[in-house]
Amino acid sequence: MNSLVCHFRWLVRIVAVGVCLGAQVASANIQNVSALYSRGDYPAAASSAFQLYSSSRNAQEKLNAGFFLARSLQALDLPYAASRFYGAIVRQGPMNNPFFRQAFEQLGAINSTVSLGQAQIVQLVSSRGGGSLNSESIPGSARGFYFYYQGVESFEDRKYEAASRNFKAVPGGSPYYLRAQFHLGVIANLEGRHSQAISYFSGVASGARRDDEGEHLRASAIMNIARVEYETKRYNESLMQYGRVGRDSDLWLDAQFEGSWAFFMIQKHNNALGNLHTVQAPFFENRFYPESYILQSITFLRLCRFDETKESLEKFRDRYQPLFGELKKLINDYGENPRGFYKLVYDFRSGSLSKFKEAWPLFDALSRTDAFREGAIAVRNSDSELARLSRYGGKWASSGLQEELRDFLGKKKAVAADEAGRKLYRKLGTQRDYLKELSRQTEFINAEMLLNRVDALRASLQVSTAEKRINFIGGFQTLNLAQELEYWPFQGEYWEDELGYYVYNIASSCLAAKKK
Amino acid sequence: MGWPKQIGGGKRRLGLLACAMLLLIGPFVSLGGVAFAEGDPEDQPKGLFDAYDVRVIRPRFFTKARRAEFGGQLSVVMNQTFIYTYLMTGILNYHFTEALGVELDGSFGFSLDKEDKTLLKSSFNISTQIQRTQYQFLGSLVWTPLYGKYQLASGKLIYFDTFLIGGGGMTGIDYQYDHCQASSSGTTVTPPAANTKGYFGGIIGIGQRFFIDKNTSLRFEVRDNIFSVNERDGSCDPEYAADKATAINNVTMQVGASRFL
Repeated sequence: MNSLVCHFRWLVRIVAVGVCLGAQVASANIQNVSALYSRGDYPAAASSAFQLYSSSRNAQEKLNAGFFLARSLQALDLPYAASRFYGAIVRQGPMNNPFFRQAFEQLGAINSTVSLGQAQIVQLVSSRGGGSLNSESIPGSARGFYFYYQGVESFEDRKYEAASRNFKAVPGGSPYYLRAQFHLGVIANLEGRHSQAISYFSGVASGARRDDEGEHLRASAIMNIARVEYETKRYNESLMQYGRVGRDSDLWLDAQFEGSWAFFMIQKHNNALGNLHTVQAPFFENRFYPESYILQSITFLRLCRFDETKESLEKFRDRYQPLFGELKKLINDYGENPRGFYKLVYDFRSGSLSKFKEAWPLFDALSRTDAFREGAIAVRNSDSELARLSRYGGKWASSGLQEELRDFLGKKKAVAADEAGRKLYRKLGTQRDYLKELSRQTEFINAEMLLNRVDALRASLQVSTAEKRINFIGGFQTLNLAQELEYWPFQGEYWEDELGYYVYNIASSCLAAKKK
Repeated sequence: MGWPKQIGGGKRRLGLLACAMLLLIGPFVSLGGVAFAEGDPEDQPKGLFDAYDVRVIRPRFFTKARRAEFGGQLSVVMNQTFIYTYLMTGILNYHFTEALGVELDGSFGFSLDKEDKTLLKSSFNISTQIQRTQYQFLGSLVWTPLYGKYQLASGKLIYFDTFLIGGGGMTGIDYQYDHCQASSSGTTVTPPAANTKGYFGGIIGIGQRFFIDKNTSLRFEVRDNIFSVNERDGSCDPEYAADKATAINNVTMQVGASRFL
């Protein structure tokens, strides 16, 4: 028994000495990491910090190492890799990690420059992701980031009141402020507060930055002002707003198409047809505007131009009938393979897709969605960081950091592709239903014409006459008699500079039709 | 970052569904409610290309009406055998309409002998009598019948107009009397001192402006300045020379730029 006690005492002494030595080693390592970081030797700092982070038993030093690691990766311009460790700190919460505040701020800053992807952020900030945080603990400079994504989560769950509350809590100076205001505009419109919605969108349009993302946000806000004006039947104002969407915006063709509906509603048939002439120009043959043929046919119908009406319906059928077969195949083949579907859209966008040719206009529409954009950014950034990891091969491979980051970035890429693929696949289903609906309408219009019920059909297309006295030239501009105009004939050849300025010059055949 | 922009989706559906709904109830609407669509062309400005079903109508890229234009050009007289004449030309133009304007321009320059002239003198002792244009002050009417555009291979669009000018003014000829020499009989004539004499005449021309922005154009034109000189003015011995009018054509090529105010 005595010898047993004796042995136990020796064991305790050995462990104590070991712990003591270990602590000294760990302490030396964190100082070493700190020194490497201060010297700007970030690769070595990251490698040492990771060793400490994964092996240290000292909780405090593990926390320090985690933070140094994230900072070093960020300094090496590996923001996604850094977000892996900032995220780990944030998930520990403000009570358990003294670096919570800085980590949260850095995540917000990273996300405002290279989008981390909603899936990753929701895990951090949302109640859905299980990372529910007390809003009081969110540092001031990260409040915009936090409340914005809280708002987005509520918005997606259609909890508009909670969403409004969160979006309104985004501070004015935050990079998320304008996006929050944009959402507030959407919510105001959904709740029927149209003028308030316009006010929100106007604020976004005037405050958006002059970079690519800012311009996209500005164009989106202007489009939404136009749509609200349209919904409230203020068609002239709506047209004025559509005219503000810049030619180089991705939304310009949408503005042309939607503007043709506004022209139709105020009986500016020649302007409506002119806009549709642009939308259907060969420059945009891979763009997806099937409804343009329906609108064209009912516009011709209003002008009692029945041959042209039939021609538009035939064009719709010729162009979109073959699409149904491929659409069915896509729906069947990719329901369980969202990553494969994302890859398909990605291949189309990068010009390497050679199959499903009939569905290319649909792929084009899908590749212009925010879902695809967000997924593509995450995949591209992940790939870029994966490629750069090899620079730090030796040191990082021996510490295990290389493998850890490869695994994280690979998963991030896969999650982004899956998430985007799922959203795109859902949109594909929506587009199929939309096409079916349009197809039914073409049959209906045709049938009514064949049954000689054209007058009734035409009469059913009730449109506004209140604003008819205002006349428009091309480009959504009102006719100003003091203005010098230029005219160019369309002789079958499309000129790029003329897109958006076409105006038809045809008269109604209704009187002639009536006399017959 | 995935903000919603789906009001449009709703709106478009609204438009489409409204039409679909109205189409569905169409057969039940009485014929008395039929409203004929007006002939839309009356909505449009009366302009060019009325015979076409589809036109582009938009604000004119470059407007000249009620604008002043000033600019500078380098003019070269192209039809002189023995000399090169270069003139710096200043232009002041006022456009009453897109098609009509008036222009004043003044040129001043110098001449250089061509190698042929030097060779004739050195090898064959032949002195050539030259009318050296020193200045021009011209006024003209400008008519711009053509306004067009073309696209470069790069996709860039160039607008241009083509104009015709007609008018008149004064051209100054610099007489240097350097062709005067002793006659074969050995008598020596004292030529007059070098001087410049002005002659009235008329001009016609054709030119093109290439608009590089909404205020600036590059100009290229060719003009024929026709005037009549008195041969006696260039004679080495004017006292004994007879008056004789000779028509001169100065065909100039002018290249420059102008700015519209």
